[in-house]
Amino acid sequence: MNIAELPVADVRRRLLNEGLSLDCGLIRARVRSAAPGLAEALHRLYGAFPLDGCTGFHDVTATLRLQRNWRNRGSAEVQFLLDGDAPFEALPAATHLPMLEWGLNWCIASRCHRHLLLHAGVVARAGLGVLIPAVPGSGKSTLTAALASRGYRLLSDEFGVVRLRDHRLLPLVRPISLKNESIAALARFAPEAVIGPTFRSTRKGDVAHVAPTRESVAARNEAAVPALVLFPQFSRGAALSVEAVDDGLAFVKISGNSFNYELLGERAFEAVARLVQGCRCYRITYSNMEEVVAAVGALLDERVQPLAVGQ
Amino acid sequence: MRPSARSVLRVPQPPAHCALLLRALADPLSLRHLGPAEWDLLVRVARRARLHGILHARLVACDAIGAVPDRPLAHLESGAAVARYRLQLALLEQHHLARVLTPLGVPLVLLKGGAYAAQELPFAVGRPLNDLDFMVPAAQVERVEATLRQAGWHSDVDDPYDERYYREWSHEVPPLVGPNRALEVDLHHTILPPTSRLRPDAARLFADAEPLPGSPFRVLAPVDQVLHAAVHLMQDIDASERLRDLVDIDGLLRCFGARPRFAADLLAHAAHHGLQRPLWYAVHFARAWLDTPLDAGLARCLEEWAPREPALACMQALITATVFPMHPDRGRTATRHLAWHLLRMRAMWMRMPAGLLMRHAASKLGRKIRAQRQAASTAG
Repeated sequence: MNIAELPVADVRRRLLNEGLSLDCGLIRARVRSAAPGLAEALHRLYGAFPLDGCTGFHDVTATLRLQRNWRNRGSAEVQFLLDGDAPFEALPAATHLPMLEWGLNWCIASRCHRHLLLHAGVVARAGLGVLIPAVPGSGKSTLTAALASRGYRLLSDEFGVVRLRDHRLLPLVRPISLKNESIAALARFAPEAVIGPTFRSTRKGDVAHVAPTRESVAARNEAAVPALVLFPQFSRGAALSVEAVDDGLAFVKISGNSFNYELLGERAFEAVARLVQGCRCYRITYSNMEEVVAAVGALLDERVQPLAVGQ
Repeated sequence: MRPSARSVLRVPQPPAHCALLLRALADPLSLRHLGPAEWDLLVRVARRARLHGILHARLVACDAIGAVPDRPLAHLESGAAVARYRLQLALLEQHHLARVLTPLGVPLVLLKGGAYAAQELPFAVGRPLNDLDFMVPAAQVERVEATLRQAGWHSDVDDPYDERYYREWSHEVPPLVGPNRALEVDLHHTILPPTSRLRPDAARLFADAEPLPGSPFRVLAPVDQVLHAAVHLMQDIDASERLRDLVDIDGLLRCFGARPRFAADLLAHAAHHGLQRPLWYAVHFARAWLDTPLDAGLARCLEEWAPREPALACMQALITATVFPMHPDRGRTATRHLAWHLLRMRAMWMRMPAGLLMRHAASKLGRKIRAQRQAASTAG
C-alpha cells in the first residue's frame, strides 16, 4: 500500500500524531506537522511512496511547527524543528512544503557522511546512471525532471550520492523542485507529470515540485553504475551544444561541487577519480527540452554499445 | 553503581531517554540487542550530545560495530567521519602554530580536545573538536598574538565591547583563525578568567606541564587535565547539555587513574589550585552516571571536600536538569530552562566580582535592547 491510497484526512491525522514516514531510499524521514495544506501536498507528491509505520528507525525526525510571529502582526509561520532544534529562520506558514524539502536537504548534507555527496541531479536508464552536477540556476532540476518524465528512473534531484565502497550512485528519491519559468515549461513538456502546488515568492522565487514516478520510488534501493556526467547550462534561445569535458576539468568541477569532499579526504578523492575515469563527461547547453532529452539519449546509447560489445 | 560512597547513592536518576546512551558509553556491548525504535532514540540523543562519533569508536574498540544495524551505523560512521576531519584540521593547525611560534621559545600548552588527541588518549577517539585551545604564560600572550597576526591569523571579533571583555576580564584573547582555514584557535593564559573567585596558580600549571614526544607542544599534567575538565564542567557560562564534559572526566580518570601517585597528585594539585569543589562535583557525577572507577583511598579523601546541604542538593538538581541532552521530541522544558539560567547566573557570579558583573550585565542588556529596536525598525 502506498501513501496515495490513504485518504488525505488520514495523512493529516498521521502528521498530527505519530508522524508520516517517508522512505526515500538512502534516508527515511518521519514528519510531523499541523500546517494546513501540507497533508494535501504530501499526498500528491509522495503518493507513490510506501505507507510505512513510524515506529522503526528513521534517519530524520522533523516537525514543521506552526507558530505566530507577534513582531509581524501575528502572522502564521512554520518552523523546521530537528530533534528539538530550529536550525533556520521560520517561513510563512503557506511555505510548508519548500521548508520541509530545504530542511531535509540540510539534514542530508550534514548527516550522510558515509557517502560522497554531490550537489547534482541523478537519473538512470537500464542501470546506467547520469550524473548532473551543477550550481543553482544552471537548469539542473529542469533537465533532471525532463529526463525523469521521459522514461528515465529518478534517483535524486538534489544529491548525487556516491557510495564509497563501489563508487555507485545511490537513490535518494524525493520530489523534484522546479523554480519560476521551468514550472510551466515542464508542464508543457510533460503534461502527464504530477506537479504539486506552486509556492509563490519564496526566497528562491516561485517553487513547485514534480512527483517521482511509481517506478522510481519502487527502485529507491537500487544503485546505478555511473556512465555519464553532464554539466548543464540552460540558456534561453541557445542552440543545443554538447562539448566533451576533459578528465582534469571534470574532476575539479565535481569535487568543487561536493558537500563533503574535504571532510572525507582521501576516500572522496578516490571516488571522484573513479567517477571521472568511468564516465564520459560533457558540458551541455540547451534551451529546448525535447532536443536535450534526445541528445542525452544518444550519449547514453554510445555508452551502452561498447558495453554490449564487451559482453 | 558503586555503593561505596555515601553521597553517590543520593544522586538523582538521569532522565529516562538518556539511560540507553549512558549504558552504551559505559558498556558498548550492551547495544548488541537493541531494537529499531531504541536505536532511533539512541542515535538522536547521542547526536544531540555530540557523542555519536565517540560511540562509534567505542563499538569499534570492543569489536561490536558489526552488530549495529546498517541505518543507525551510517549515523555513527558519519559522526566518526566528522570527528576525524576536525582532528585533521586540528593537527594541521598545530603544525602551523608550531612553525610560527617555536622560534619564540615560549612554552605552548595544548588544552582539552587538542591535548587528548595529541596524547592519543583512547577515550577521545571520535570526539569532535570545535576549536584548538592552547595556553601560553600571561606575560607572553601579547607577543604570541602579535606574532600570529603578523603571520596571517585574524580575529572576527569586531565589537569594541567584546574585544575589551576578552582583553581585560577573560583568560583568553578573541578567537583567531589562520589564513584560508576554518578551525578557530583559542589562545589562553590560564584555565579560568583572572576575575574569578577561584584562581588556579597558572605558573604551577606551566611548571607541571609535561612534554609531548616529538612535538614542540606540552600538555598539562594528567591531574591538571582532570582539574581543567572539572572546571569546564562546573564553571562554564553555558551549562546546556554538557554530558560530553563529563565523558571527558570519565575518560581522563580511566586513562590516568591507575598511574602511580595519581591519587596523591590529584588531591595535592586540587588543594594547591583551590579547585577542590569543582573536582568533587565532577568526580561525584562521573561516578554516579558513568560508573567511573575510582581508587577507594581517593574516594575517601575526596569526601572531606563534599559540599554541605543544601548547596549539594541544589547543585545536584541544577546539574541533573541541564547536563543531559534534552529529549529530541520534547525539546527544552521549563525546568531545564530555569536551571540553565540559574547555573548561568552562578557561573557569572563565580567569574566576576559583583561590581564588574553588574557593569557587564548592564552593558549586555543595553546592547540587546538596541539590537531589538534596530531589528524592529528594519522589519517595520
